[in-house]
Amino acid sequence: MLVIHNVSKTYNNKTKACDRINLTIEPGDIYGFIGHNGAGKTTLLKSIAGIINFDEGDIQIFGYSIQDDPLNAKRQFAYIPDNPDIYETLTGIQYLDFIADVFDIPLDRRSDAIDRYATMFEIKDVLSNPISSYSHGMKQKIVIMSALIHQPKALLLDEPFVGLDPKASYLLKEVFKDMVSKGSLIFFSTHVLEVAEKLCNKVAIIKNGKIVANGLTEDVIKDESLEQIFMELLNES
Amino acid sequence: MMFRRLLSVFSKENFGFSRILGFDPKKQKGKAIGISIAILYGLVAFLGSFGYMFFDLGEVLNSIGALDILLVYAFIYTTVLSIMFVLFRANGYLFHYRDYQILQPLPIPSRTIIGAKLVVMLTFIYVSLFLFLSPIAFSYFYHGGFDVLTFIIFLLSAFAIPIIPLVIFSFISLLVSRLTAKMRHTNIISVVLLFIVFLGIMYLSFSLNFSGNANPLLNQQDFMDHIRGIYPPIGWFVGAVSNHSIIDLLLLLLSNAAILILFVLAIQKMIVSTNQRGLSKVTRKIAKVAVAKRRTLIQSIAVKEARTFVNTPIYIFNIGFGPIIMVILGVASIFFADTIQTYFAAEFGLNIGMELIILILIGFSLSMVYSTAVSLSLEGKNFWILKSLPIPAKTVLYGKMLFNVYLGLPAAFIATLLFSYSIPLSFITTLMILVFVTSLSLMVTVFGSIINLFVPKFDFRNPVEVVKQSAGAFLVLFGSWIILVLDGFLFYQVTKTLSNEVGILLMSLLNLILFSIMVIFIEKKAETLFMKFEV
Repeated sequence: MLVIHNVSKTYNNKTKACDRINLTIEPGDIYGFIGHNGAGKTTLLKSIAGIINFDEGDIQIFGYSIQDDPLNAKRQFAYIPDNPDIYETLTGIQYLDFIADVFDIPLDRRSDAIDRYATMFEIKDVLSNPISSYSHGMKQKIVIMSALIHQPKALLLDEPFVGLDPKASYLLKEVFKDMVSKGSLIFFSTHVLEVAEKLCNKVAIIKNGKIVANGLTEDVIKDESLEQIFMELLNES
Repeated sequence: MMFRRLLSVFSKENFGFSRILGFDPKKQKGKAIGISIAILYGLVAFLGSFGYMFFDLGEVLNSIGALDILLVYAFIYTTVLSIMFVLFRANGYLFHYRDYQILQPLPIPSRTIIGAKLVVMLTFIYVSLFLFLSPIAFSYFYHGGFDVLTFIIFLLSAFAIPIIPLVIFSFISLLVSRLTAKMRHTNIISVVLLFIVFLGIMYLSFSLNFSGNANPLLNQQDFMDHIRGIYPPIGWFVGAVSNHSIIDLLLLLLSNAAILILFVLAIQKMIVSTNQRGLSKVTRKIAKVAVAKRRTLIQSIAVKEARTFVNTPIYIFNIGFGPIIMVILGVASIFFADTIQTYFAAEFGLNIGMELIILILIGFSLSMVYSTAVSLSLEGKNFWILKSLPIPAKTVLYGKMLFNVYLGLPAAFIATLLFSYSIPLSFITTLMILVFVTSLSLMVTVFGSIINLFVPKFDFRNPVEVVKQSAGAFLVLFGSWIILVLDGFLFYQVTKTLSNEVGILLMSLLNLILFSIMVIFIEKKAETLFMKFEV
């Protein structure tokens, strides 16, 4: 379970990017995180992933606090950023090996996983190429593979569908479904409301650092569409 | 108008304090003051040592009525400096600039963009050029007498020095990148070519006509005279400054201005095409099957570091210089064993034993192997990877340290053994030197890591900004030299009463004590400092 409790984060003592955020994401959830640009989505995701520190509150990932026990907390999840900035001097396989070494994945298991996902995302032929020669979409696929290779209990993604071709998007959604069926949880931010509406069993909407709606998708949208709800919440003063 | 606007944006991008230091000095005043003091110390040390050599040279040249030769030195040294800068930076400033996709769609003439880019690049060159020129100028004006007119002509003429190197070596840099672009090991080939150029210049300038002079610069006099004969701008520069020759001044300034204008006109279209070519990525499918390989975490980090190293030319060139020079010196000792001591005494004015010569040479070369002082910074925009993975900060640092030791220590061992064979040295002396170089390598390595923890620079556009121009690189280099001086002081005191071997052993002990203190610091503080980084 991912528990975000009263988390606040302020930049330069002025801008409150996250304001006492409370969310609980349970195993089996595909949780969509929606908000306007600058609402605080990336800040919250980076806080969960331990990339940035937050000022107040706590984040527990399967019982481990990201602030008090960061290493154990980080062993539970994989994070995929909105921009796939990865080591361009490595080849695809070298990067995947590096991540697998971090999680101490046995050679046979990692080879199987690399083979399976590389075939699925159609990048098997370029794994020996330097990442610097990859397109944005290919880098995104390598980052996704590196996240899946250690079978995390939680997957945190920031705008995961940006840059992916339709087939890869479809495959990623299938991977999400497969993972949650095995007890993992998925928490991702998105601007594509249709995706959130169709894919997520739960959603949260963030506005100016505050959660303004969250819960089961059908409860949040009721008889309307997520887009209508989102626009109504956005226009509320 | 547009040119000024562009220049203002580029200046903010390149010369802001935050960009240079890697942090906002307004927010971290203590750190800014500390780094400013260290930079000041470095400048004083540089100007003092470099200045002393030229002051001494000026005195000798003045006594034989040949002070003008100092101007030839000024011209050639700054030309070499410009060549090095252009070789590394022309590609990033002109032919493959990062903001091409932002600037090209804007309604700005290419000529304006190129002009502004060139001005920024030249500003960098001029800053380092005038830094190098200042001790030479001081010596020239001190010995020759100061007058305002000569000074103004000197300044004006100096602006012309880097133009021809800029033009020629920009094309060479482009040519090298074109020739090697389709090769598998592009970066290594580029670095080898750069090393050949650099070592060639070093060989020519320091070995020609060695005549046992106390000041090494005197050995270069014939070389300087020779170059002056085949490169007319040097003659114009000397004529303009020393004889106030208007014709020479005009020839120098106008010819260089014309060359610069022609250069801008010539590269206008070329720059658009090279930048366009840089945008297209062709991902070739390699038949080679990708095979996974398992390593321990520390090994994995060290291997990752090694791969970054071999794929970053400036990294290899700067930090790989130490190991290469050590091996070259070791090999050279086989052929010049008889003259090393005499040569060393002449070069540095020190009449010391061979053990100490070897220690100084290897010590200074090892202090240049400081990858740990920049490797954390070089993570740059990839830092999120380390931050989000379950890797303890100290493991990251130890992995990077392992690579640094792999890089420097084997070369130091090879050099020591070659020296030991060619001099020859006794078994026990050789053993003690090996212990010393090991302790020094470990100490410099950990010292670099600590420096990088305190002064990281994650925001950079070109690795040169981190490897060559960052506070971390600067501090580790000068900090290591201070430790070497401490070692030397200890050796000097101990060997008054005890043998050289004991002196070397005690220096090693000092290094190991410093190493242990720093390791304890990393064990205790690395995680906290690491967690504070927000990229």
